[in-house]
Amino acid sequence: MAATFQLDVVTPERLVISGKASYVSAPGKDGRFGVLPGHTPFVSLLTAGELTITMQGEGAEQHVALSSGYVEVTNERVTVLVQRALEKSQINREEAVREEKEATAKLAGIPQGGLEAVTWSKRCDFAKICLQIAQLPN
Amino acid sequence: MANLKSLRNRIRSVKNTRQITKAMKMVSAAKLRRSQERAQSARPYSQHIRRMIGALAAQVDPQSGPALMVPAKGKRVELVMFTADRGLCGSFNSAVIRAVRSKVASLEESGHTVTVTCVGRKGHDVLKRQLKSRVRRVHTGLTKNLTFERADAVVTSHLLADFANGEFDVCILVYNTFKSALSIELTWKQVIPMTVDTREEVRGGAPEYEPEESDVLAELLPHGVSVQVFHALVESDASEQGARMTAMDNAVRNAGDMIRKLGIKYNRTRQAAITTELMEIIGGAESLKG
Repeated sequence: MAATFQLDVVTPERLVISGKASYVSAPGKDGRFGVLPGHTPFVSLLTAGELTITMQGEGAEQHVALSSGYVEVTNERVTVLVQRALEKSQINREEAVREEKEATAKLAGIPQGGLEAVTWSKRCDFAKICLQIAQLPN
Repeated sequence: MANLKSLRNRIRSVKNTRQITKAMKMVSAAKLRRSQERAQSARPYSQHIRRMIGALAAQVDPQSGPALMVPAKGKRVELVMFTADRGLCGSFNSAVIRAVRSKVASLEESGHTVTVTCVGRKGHDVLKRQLKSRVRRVHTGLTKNLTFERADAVVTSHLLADFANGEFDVCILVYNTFKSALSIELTWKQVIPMTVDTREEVRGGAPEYEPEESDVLAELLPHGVSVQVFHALVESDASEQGARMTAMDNAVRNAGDMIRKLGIKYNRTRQAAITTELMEIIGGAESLKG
């Protein structure tokens, strides 16, 4: 059994992370799960949350903020497909604060359940997660 | 014979035009590089999504699957036409417009009802008189700060809502795909109902789905539409910049040719004027002698 797998984190706009990893933990729709090399193939929906990665040869964990999306696990690769993803180092705190405020304000002004509300609540969730991750110690 | 002053003016004005087209060429070359990068970095995502949908669709019966997959029975077609917001880009817009015009005619001949969504101002400007009430929606200004979220919120959400309300049965995207700065290719892509490649082989055995297959598919399919719309926008944007760069390059060259020709004409006219003057002087001198 291989000790690593190919990990790709992809958004519609770019390839965020691509490399060999030895462990990831992802926020599944039905609860958090971890993947080690050689996991049974499966496909799952992801909710907005934190993706934790241990890359090959690196002791420290990497933290990535994710918006909702999908994950596909096969024997030798894990592909995370999400609308937005930001690594901890890429998170801009002020921007996240501003985005959260804007989204919250918008949400208060529009009827719930509509298309627009869904978009804004997604943005709000993502901004909150960015803030959480930014506060983690290194 | 044209007089010297007016020729001088013309040369000056053509030179100005050349300067402008040269600047526009530079601008679109810079934009092209950015758009091209965006188109390239958008590719892995849409490939992955397509592959996932393919693998998943292979396990679900298309008849009982979500509405986005069931083969269409109705005869109402929605065309989504991607053009530029601005002109001066050679045959970029006209190629799409011509294709849509003939498609609308042929579809209506065969008894379909056609509606059109225009993405980009140019297409709508040209076709609004002809299409009249067939135009369902117009979206402009999207290629500036194009993000997936915006494409999703502006174009796809309307498409999906209209489809859910039963306003059309089939949806086809028409756009230019970027091949190189010199060549673009007109592309038709049916997104509703989604045409999936179910031959996709699943490596390492059939995966498990969490939640159920049908739940995942129900989420994945609308997202797939969104991805394809975004893909069309990005490709169309890159082709637009490429087409504009080529068009402006040609314009610069043509202006150069014209300046050269006008220069020759100017010099000839000047020489002719000098010759005439000389003839007159010599003529005058001769008559004094005699």
